[in-house]
Amino acid sequence: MGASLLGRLAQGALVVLFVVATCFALIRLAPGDPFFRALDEASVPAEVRAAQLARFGYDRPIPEQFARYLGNVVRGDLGWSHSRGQPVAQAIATALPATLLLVGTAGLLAFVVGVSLGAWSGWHADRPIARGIDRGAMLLLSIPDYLLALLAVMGPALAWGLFPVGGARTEFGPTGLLGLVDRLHHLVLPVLALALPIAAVVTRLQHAAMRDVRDAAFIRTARANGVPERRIRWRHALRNALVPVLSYGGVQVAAALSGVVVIERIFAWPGMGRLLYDGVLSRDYPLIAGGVLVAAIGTVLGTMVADLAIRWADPRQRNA
Amino acid sequence: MKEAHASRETGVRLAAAFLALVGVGALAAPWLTTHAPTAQLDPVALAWQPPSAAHWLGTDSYSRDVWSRLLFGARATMGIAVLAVTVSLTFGTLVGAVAALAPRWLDALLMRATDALLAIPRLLLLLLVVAGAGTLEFAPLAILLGSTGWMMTARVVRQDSGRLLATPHLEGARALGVPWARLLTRHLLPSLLPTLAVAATAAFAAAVPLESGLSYLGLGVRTPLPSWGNLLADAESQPLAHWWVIVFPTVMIAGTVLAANALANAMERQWRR
Amino acid sequence: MSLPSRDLDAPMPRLARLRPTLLLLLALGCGPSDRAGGGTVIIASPADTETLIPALRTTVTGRMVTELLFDQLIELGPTLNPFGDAGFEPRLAARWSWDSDSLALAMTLDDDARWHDGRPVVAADVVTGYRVIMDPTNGSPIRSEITDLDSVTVRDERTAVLHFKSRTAEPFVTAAAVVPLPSHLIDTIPAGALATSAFAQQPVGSGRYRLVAREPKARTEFAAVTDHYRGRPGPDRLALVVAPDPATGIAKLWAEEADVWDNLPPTEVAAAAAHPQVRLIQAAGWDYTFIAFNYRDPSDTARAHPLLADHAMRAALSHAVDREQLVRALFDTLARPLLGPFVRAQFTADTTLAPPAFDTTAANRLLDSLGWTARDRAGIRRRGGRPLRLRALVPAPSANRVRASVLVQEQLRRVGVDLVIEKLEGQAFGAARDAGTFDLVFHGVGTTPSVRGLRTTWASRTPAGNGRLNAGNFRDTTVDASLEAGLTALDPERTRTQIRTAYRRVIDDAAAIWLYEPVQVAGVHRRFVTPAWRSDAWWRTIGEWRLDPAATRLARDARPTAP
Repeated sequence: MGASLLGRLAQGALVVLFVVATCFALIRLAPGDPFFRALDEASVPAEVRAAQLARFGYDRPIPEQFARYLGNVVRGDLGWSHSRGQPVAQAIATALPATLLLVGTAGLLAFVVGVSLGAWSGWHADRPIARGIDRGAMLLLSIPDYLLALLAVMGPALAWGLFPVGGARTEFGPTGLLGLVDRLHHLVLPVLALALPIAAVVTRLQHAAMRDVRDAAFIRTARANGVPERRIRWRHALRNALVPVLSYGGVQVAAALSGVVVIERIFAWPGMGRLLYDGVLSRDYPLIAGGVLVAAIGTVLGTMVADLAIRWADPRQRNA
Repeated sequence: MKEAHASRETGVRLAAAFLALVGVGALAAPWLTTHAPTAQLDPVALAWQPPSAAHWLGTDSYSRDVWSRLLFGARATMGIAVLAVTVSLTFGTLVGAVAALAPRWLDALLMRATDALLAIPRLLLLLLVVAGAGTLEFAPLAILLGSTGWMMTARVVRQDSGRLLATPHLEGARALGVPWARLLTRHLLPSLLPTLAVAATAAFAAAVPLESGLSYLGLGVRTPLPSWGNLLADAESQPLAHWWVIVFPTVMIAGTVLAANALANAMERQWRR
Repeated sequence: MSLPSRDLDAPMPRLARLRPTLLLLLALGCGPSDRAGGGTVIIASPADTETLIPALRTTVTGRMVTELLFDQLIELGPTLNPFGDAGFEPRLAARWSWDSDSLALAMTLDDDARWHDGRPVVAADVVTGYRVIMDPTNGSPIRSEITDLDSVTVRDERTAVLHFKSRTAEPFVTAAAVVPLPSHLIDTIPAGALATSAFAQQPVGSGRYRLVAREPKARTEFAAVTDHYRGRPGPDRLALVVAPDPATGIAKLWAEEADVWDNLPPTEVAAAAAHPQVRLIQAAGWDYTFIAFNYRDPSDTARAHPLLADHAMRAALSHAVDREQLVRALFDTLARPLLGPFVRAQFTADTTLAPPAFDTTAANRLLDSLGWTARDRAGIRRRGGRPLRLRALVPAPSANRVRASVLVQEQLRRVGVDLVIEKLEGQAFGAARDAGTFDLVFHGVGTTPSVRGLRTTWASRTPAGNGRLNAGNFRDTTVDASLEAGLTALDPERTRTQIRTAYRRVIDDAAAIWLYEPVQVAGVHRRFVTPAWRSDAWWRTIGEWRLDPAATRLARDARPTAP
């Protein structure tokens, strides 16, 4: 177990390295550079830009830049974000918690709602209401998620005034307990916009898995052995049926980051998605590298946690 | 039980019919529309016209006929999605099947590389590439979408191939020393077809909203050519007042994705049970 | 007005007992409520400032933030007259005088002027400000704007002298561009390290507002400097809040979560009627948009453009565009067709000038005369088997230009020209524009009351090291001569005549298709009473904003406890 864990960690590290290297190279191949800023106004003069590029080493060959970057990262130096005027580490330190809050809450909500709804509807898959739930989830999945977010802003926020229009907290708002309530108030719409599509997928997966497990042999055996119905449902069936959901969850961490970019932009949420998006648009090389590094580490950890959870849920997979 | 089965059947039939209708509409677009999709009839007087007899689905901000743009847009969106799926499916199947047939080290390498690529958020990858290349033409855009989506197919194919190769039939063939190319084409691929069909439909259902998301960010099909994503992107302001520009493309996108997913489910139930 | 936290946690009865005390505290704390000052202004913006140091600012938001934090020596007043000193108001410099040879301008600093850390503003600070601008490692865009300045010296502790190389039409614009920086903090920073220094993140300024907090790309908070030499500003607090999606940002204005949005697009202006708590303020615009022709071959900039170097071709394309229709379709009444390389608000504007009129007959005739008589099935003209196809660059971030490009594309198609639109995001657009890899480019220029900006867009030899805003490589020695003569004339009327000659030449050469100059419409919350709106820099009078005593205050207007 220990050896395989070490092996997984090593593999994970390689994956992170690969991801960072790819994005590192891709952004440098795009036209423009970190010091080329203006759309229409007078920009930084060409020779000054050249001097700045040389100073930060951006005119060296890409592999050399990458090696230098890795050396700095190992020493704990993530570089200076030119577009934000602050150290990259500081930028990430403020953005990461915001995204974790958003994605974590949305993921939790989606998982809890999806699993319970899906499990119930899967177990009773013959009832029309269960089919209705499944179809409803499919419908929800079909709407592009940014559209859902835009409608959320226009409707409940703007038209009906029930929720604030974007942002993580009210400007000059209350602090302390009221401040916490204020932050929760701002969290509702972005979390819903992010969670609904994921909940839909989880519901459907859980529904299908539960429906399949329901008729499985070992369930019938358990029932024949006199195991109480409730125990069969929750202990045996659900645990087994969780496997596809967890497997999906592990893989979807990176996909979640894609969705977060659009949601954070629409709701002006100061998180990692916006960090990366703005970074790409301003060619902020160190910021992009740092952000991708954190995202890759997060994805790898997420996949590992999901795999561990699968092992817990399905004893048969223990030796896989 | 039978009741459920029957209603599911109708659902699948509806889905297939819907997709067929969209396909026919897209192909027959020139004959089903009276205005060209990019024709600006009168940008001052005829912009933002609600649905009427003259313009069945109204006009957009440039006074272009929405019905016409919807049908021609179907061509672009469907075309891109189909091309993207072809690319991702071909490449994904190749990688997955080869990995299953290959020696362990190559298998591990291919699968870890696939996982690594899965770890990069797709949107970020697309952003980075488009930042470099600018607005892409139709075909390069589709290929780009396809090349960022083959990884899931590869994983699924690898799993299924692994399972198939363990069956006595194929295990025997391998033991007999059948060359792997032949194994691939003659034995593996035919058995994989059901999985591939499901994967293709699911990939199609994923590509359609992705194209519209790209257009929202301004990176999609080049104007003035319509695509469903472009239609949505053009309507940024006052979505409630000019509802027809948003509702119809949304219904088409949602309907297509729904139908494709329903079909994929049906096929999965049919062939994998 | 903050309550001790333990009161919030206390159970109800205790709170009920405290209520009278609380009310009393509230009444005292809020102070004399007849004072119309105070208030918190939240400025919503789609972009953040790129720097907090005046010498390094490149965008309009950058100008706003740095001008809030740092005062200039003198400031252009509401008359917007940049010639001589009649239009300028004293700021850090209380008085000034010319030396006998009229090449040295002595500026005497206000005795009460202080930095936010309490130190007085001295003449050495002016020298530091100049030095920072001129240091090439800082990459200041102002460096190329003050080429008429030779040096800045210290005469005594309160007097700095600006030495000019020669007499020019706008010496005081130059003087205003040299913003003093605290020498006691900056002189210790090594060359080239300013942008990454601690000062760059926590600047000490001289303006009416000081920096309280900053989260890059999210929010920047300012607090009023209560003992400022110009007097205490009205609003106690300011916040610049960044909303990258304009729809969300403007929605904040409607929802009263923001108080100002300074540039409402036409579609939102119409929506304002549904939100009575927001007041709309119209002001002259200072931006103009045009389509620049590339005079050089995109594939080899040493050669002339095979098609566009010909005046007839440029004239034909100009005639083909219906600018009136474009303006009405995009802006309704909130923009005016552009007359030439200037906005109507400028002192040198000439409303008698007229660009080529919309005339498809003339356009067709010219194109036929150039040999493009054959047409293909789509109606696009051909000559020698090649279609008449031109590539246009459009910046994706500019919604107006993107929409204009679609309209122009259709208008050109009607005369048989195939316009291919290349929509690029910001950096890629700038890089392509500078590299000259286009036939046409949808260009936007933000002008100021000063006329020196013309050099960057229309002079052959753009000032050393400037960003290439003369995107189309326009070269005309007559225009150069007129611009130089205008910039060095000492009589405003002569300047105006010379500059207008330059305008006329540029228009006659059909160097561009002149599109539109939008009218600025700002949305401001009604509870603020604002002075006359400065169209070129509305934030300069934010210190004079007052809360309308008759209007209800919002929660955030409560006067903050002393820092």
